[in-house]
Amino acid sequence: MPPPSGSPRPEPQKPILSVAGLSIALRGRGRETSLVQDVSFSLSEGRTLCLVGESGCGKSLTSLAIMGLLASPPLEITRGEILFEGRDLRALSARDRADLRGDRMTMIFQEPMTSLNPAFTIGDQIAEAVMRHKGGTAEEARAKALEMLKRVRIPAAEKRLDEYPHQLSGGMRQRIMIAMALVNGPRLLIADEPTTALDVTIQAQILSLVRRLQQETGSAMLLITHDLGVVAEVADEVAVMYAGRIVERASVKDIFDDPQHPYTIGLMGSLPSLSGREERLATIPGSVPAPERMPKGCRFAPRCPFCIPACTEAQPPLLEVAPGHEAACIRAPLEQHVTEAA
Amino acid sequence: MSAILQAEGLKKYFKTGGGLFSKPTVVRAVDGVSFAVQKGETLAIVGESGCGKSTVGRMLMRLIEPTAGTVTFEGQDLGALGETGLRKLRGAMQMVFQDPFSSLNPRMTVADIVGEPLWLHGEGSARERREKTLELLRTVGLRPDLADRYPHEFSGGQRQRIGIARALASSPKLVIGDEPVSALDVSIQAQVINLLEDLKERFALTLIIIAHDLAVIRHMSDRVIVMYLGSIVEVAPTGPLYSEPLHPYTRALLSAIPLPVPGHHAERKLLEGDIPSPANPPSGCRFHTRCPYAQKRCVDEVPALRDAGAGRMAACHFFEDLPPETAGRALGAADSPAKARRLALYKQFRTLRDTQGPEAVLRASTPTMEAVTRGEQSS
Ligand SMILES: Nc1ncnc2c1ncn2[C@@H]1O[C@H](COP(=O)(O)OP(=O)(O)OP(=O)(O)O)[C@@H](O)[C@H]1O
Ligand SMILES: Nc1ncnc2c1ncn2[C@@H]1O[C@H](COP(=O)(O)OP(=O)(O)OP(=O)(O)O)[C@@H](O)[C@H]1O
Ligand code: SF4
Ligand code: SF4
Ligand SMILES: [Mg+2]
Ligand SMILES: [Mg+2]
Repeated sequence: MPPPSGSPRPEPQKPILSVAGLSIALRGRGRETSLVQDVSFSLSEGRTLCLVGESGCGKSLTSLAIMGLLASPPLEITRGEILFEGRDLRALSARDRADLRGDRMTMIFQEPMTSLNPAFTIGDQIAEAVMRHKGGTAEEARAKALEMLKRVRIPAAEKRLDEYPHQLSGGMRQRIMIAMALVNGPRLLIADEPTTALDVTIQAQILSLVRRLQQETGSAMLLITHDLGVVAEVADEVAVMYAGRIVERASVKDIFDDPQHPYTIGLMGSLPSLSGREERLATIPGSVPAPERMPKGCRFAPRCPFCIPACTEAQPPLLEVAPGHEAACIRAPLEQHVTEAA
Repeated sequence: MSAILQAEGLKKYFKTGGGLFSKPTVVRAVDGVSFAVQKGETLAIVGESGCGKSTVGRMLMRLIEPTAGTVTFEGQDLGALGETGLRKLRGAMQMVFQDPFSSLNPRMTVADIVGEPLWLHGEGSARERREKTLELLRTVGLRPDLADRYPHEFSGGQRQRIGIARALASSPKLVIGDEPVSALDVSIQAQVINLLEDLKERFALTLIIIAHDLAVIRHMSDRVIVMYLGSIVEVAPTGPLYSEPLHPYTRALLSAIPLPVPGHHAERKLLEGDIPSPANPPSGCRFHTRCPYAQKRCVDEVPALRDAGAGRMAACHFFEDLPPETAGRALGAADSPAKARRLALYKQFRTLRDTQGPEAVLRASTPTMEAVTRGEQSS
């Protein structure tokens, strides 16, 4: 059994990434639809923050905004600050941002072919990433590529250097993409559902690989997933998103052992368990409202079993409910606000 | 219990590619699969991508022709039936698919989609069919006033409900769900799982659930078939399969699942290597390229699916001799008191809001400071 780490971890040093009040909107035909609203978090060296939430809650948009890859127009950052290693990314020129990408900050996606070019060999693609940012000769870059393939445990790495992406299995391509993302030693790695398309035995390999490489390099990781099992496996901290906002943020232990927001609780109750057959799953009724039809107050109110009229008056702010644990619910902690004998 | 459906020696080989100068490759998608489904049970078929689950499902429905083998439904050999016989039988056997987006005709209204099987079977008058359709929508939890909308106007979970309503229209005895909840978000997935369980109870259905999510399977099924590369490697009642998996592949699958319990990963054993291609499966035991217990015999000799007692079967030469899976990690941990308490509150208030409305939720709330002061003023 791993030791339970009940006490809060020592507060880590300076954050590598800090996002404050980030809002993203869709602009078009004289309308502005808010898609991500007031998202804040920070991430330190060697730590992993998981963004979790259901489809469409704004996880990918948040990460694309950090990478400077938002498709704008029509998408646009309307507010907020993104500091990376102390620098305000929004103030940088497009050129400077492009220099950071693939070097100091890198991203891996659910579908490896988003980052791999089918027309070039694996070796050439990784070597190119090295030379673009670090310079050096083609031989040096190729040697670096080979070393990286070995580190991500590609069998027969030497031979793979000269193969094309389509010659590899899905799991293998994912490893190649990870190799490419890590070859320049980034300080921040953003992974958007990196294992969602993979089989469970392959997913386990990739997760353990990512964790090991991260320990070796000390880079920070922002991992996006909707799988609470993956969250428990890799996260240090967790931010739960619902309908474009962060509704709860805490250490991984607190999220699972002390869930505060009714949405987080509902998600936990919706998960079938591997350890036994429970009677019936708790469910969250209804579905997520469309971005252009967001309720005025708490966005979870239409689906929340604890909703009272006050919830629909204003958006509940993300407030600390315990040290290092924040929830955006006017009724947290619940047991203090409801009578259990109801 | 008696068998409602029986599959015997099912095989499906697909020929792909092949031209003037190249030989076609033969993909052995399903390679000799036999099992029986008992009336009233929920049987799960699990395995990784490409192991042949969907192909088995399609052969059971005879949506595709088996290369070899037979399927018997209530004593009738499906292969011996003509088109009309098959069509009749398909009313009694229905399929629900994974992708609620592509499995519904975008140009038909929901009422038409759900009502089509009734119309095909020439049931009742137009008015009676409409009535029955609306009733089916209510049964799966969709508002009947949405009947004349089109599929694109619905969310993923709602579309899956439409697919289920359609499957129920012909009053089936057996429903095969091919990944019926895999494409859905967790909260929506839970709604559909509960719905399927309710319907199974209400209509005394037999269910075959094809899935790769072992937690969903654990929750829903009575018995599980585990497949690897076109063959069955283990069959067992659900409880024992999870607590004491016999086959090395089943063990590996179970230990690969990330558990929603922080700190658990330290204990796991990982499977090395990739899943081989079914076009070129390994000799002998197909799992031998990844099996931690493989020996010489495994390379040469195909292990038979053998009786392991207590309704279990396993296809491994050595399952009796393997170390018991007690060293494996626990498949969960008890909820913390805080979490257990909040989950209980959640369920309680969910029921309260559903049955007595939002006012009851307000009444069950401890007075806020504001209300307390107001109360003092009025007294
Ligand atoms: N280019 C775009 N144009 C218009 N709307 C968009 C665009 N990209 C995203 N959206 C909308 O923004 C919202 C958030 O999208 P995002 O991709 O961030 O979700 P997500 O949390 O990553 O979901 P998933 O789990 O499905 O990947 C969604 O409602 C989506 O429809
Ligand atoms: N029509 C076809 N032609 C050629 N090969 C096919 C065809 N249908 C399936 N296959 C192959 O047969 C094998 C089994 O496919 P099947 O769809 O049954 O797998 P599955 O277990 O359902 O996988 P998944 O979990 O990905 O749905 C795969 O290798 C697949 O590529
Ligand atoms: S603020 Fe109200 S509606 Fe929103 S989550 Fe909390 S109790 Fe539910
Ligand atoms: S037969 Fe051999 S290779 Fe196959 S599962 Fe058993 S021990 Fe492993
Ligand atoms: Mg996304
Ligand atoms: Mg399938």
